[in-house]
Amino acid sequence: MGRVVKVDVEQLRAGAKALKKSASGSRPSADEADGFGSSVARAAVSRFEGYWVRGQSTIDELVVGSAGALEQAADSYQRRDSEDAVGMRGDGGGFHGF
Amino acid sequence: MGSRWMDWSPVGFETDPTPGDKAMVESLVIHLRTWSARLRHQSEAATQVLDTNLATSSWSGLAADVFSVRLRALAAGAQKAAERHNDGVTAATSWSASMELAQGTADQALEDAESALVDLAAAEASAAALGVQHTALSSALSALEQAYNSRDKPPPGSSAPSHGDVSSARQREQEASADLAQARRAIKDAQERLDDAIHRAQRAKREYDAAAKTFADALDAALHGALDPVPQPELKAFGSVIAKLSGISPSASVNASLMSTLGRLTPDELSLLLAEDPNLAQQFWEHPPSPDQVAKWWSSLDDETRAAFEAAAPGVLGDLAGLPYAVRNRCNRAVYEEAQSRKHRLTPEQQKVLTALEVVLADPSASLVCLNLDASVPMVAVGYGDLDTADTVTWAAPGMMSDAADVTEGWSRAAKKLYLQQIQLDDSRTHAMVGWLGYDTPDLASVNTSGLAQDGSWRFANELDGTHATRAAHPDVTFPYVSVVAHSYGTTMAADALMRTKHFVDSFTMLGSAGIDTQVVKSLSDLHVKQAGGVPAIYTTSAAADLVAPFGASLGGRSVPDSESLRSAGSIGARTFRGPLNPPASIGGAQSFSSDGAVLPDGEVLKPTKGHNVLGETIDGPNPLNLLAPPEGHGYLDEGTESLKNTGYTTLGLPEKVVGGLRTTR
Repeated sequence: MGRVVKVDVEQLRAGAKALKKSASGSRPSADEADGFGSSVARAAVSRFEGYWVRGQSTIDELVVGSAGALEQAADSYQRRDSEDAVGMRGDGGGFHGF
Repeated sequence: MGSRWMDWSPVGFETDPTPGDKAMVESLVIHLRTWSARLRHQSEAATQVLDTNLATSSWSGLAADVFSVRLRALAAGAQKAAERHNDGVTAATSWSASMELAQGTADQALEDAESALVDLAAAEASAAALGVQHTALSSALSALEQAYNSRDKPPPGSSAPSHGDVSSARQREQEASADLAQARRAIKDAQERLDDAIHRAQRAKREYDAAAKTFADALDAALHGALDPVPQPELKAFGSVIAKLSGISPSASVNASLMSTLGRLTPDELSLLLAEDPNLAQQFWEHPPSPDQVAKWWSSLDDETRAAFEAAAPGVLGDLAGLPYAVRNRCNRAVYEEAQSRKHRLTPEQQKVLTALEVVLADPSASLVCLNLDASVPMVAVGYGDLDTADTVTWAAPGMMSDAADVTEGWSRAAKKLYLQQIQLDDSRTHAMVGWLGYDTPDLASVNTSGLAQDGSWRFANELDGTHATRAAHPDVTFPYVSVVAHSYGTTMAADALMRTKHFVDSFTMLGSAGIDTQVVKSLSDLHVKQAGGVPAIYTTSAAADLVAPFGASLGGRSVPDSESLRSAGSIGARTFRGPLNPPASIGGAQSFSSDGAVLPDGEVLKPTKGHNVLGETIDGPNPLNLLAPPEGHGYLDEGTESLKNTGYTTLGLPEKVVGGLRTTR
């Protein structure tokens, strides 16, 4: 029923960096010109942009948010390891809680 | 609209019939292509991170699992978005080409029409002038011919026209006529060219409109697959969840990790985590945290936080041993109501459970102790009485072919009969009962192995410890008398569970046992069952007419807890199958009681059990399950049977009252 938790904090940080990079740089934007054709064509472009601009933002936010979560995890592991090291020296009082 | 500002009236249009700027559409193509590439890169980056930076060798544990689920969904979502943008690229590229073609046709038509109009005007002017000239020449010719043919003497000072004069006038008239005819042909030709140009412009517009519609339809078809927006607070909460999960001790078991998860997360974070990884709820079922720690955790929360947890994760809390049963009932009812609202989309097995629960839960004394529709088979436990306060609590476990989809109603009815019998036998205490259908029960083939019993025993042991934990957490502790009653293969499973409980139960009663797995239980005295009268409070009964129990035990190579049943026809039959080298075995140390009927001193007649099942039933005609199903009213837990009454006594800790007394088995 047990399992061993493995962590390579440097890999977590490298993963966070790679994710952040994929969401960096300027976001491409469409011109607001009305040269896309008839009202039928222009309305379709408008619907597409309206739908996908939100989808693009969501992906960007998730990528950045995931990178942040990875960094927090790396910080948390390092903090825990530091606390464990303190505990090993005998002044940590042992693990309390669940 | 991107119209070309020209006069389109020559071809019959007030405005540009094929508006648009090809350069603009091409810039749209570039825009969409750039987005598609960016999204594909994000998908590939997420996948790359998963495969390399976050491979199992680099990061494992609950935090890694939850994070990977999200990153995998992100990679898939970005890939899908990239594909939809690429669909847009294809559509816009095609639209650009179609627009250019239509505009070229329209432009040429307009040019031709303008040219035709110029020619038409010139031809019409020429025809008008030639018409006047021709009329004049015709009149002059007519006058000359009249004078030439006259016999009258010409007036003084003039002379009669000569033949040559007439011929010359006729020639001029004929030339003018020819010029006029030519001018009229020029008009016709110009008009035909104009009509043709108008026709081509109209055709260009039709083709343009059709292409525009194709473009619009293609873009509209790409309006799906976007990931739902994630509110900023939720994004922050996810980071917090991962960080908190990362703080869990690396050496913790899954069960302990899940407990730590409960202890560390806020209700909102737990809700977010479950939404992120729906499989997590099943992990709580398969690897339940320690009930003692669950009870301790719950006690540490204030009322507001408890309510928030109930609302955030009813599917987890409802099946969490160690929580008050009233809480579990509320949570499981919420899950039940939600499942009912989407019943038509569930599997047939899940629907059968919900239908059965409609009947069972109509009983006001019933509560939902467990509900897990998404387990390997749907699982349920129905309670009767107040499990949080009752003086006695009995857990009833069924045998083979007793999955919740098939027996929720029947097993709950049997449990209720025992519950009512207990109330009748002892009204000085309050009672509660759980009809537990929390494991995958065997069929006729798998009943011969003990694997499903061992699988189910972990969860059953956890539930039994939960009864102790909920009371222990209460400030003024009153522990109930806890008993286990099991039927058939359920005795195999329950005995395994009683090797795994932390806390001892007060008694264990076996009805028609399908045998004890001596690989797990070497001796009945090893079971975590308290003693009564100096011996373990372990009871067993096997009706003389129950041929299935000893047959199943012998065939499965398990040991029957009542050696007398080895002499039954069922056991002898099994011996025939197994051969002389594998004789059926018994395991001693239980107290056996009769279920074959009796007459009490006051004249009350207790009916015998006449088959294997807990409830008898009337089956018309030949009954292929005759060995399983006793006649109506003659099952182990039917009213008025000796078995039900004696089981009532043993499960209440009143073995001295058992009808016919107890015999120690060998």
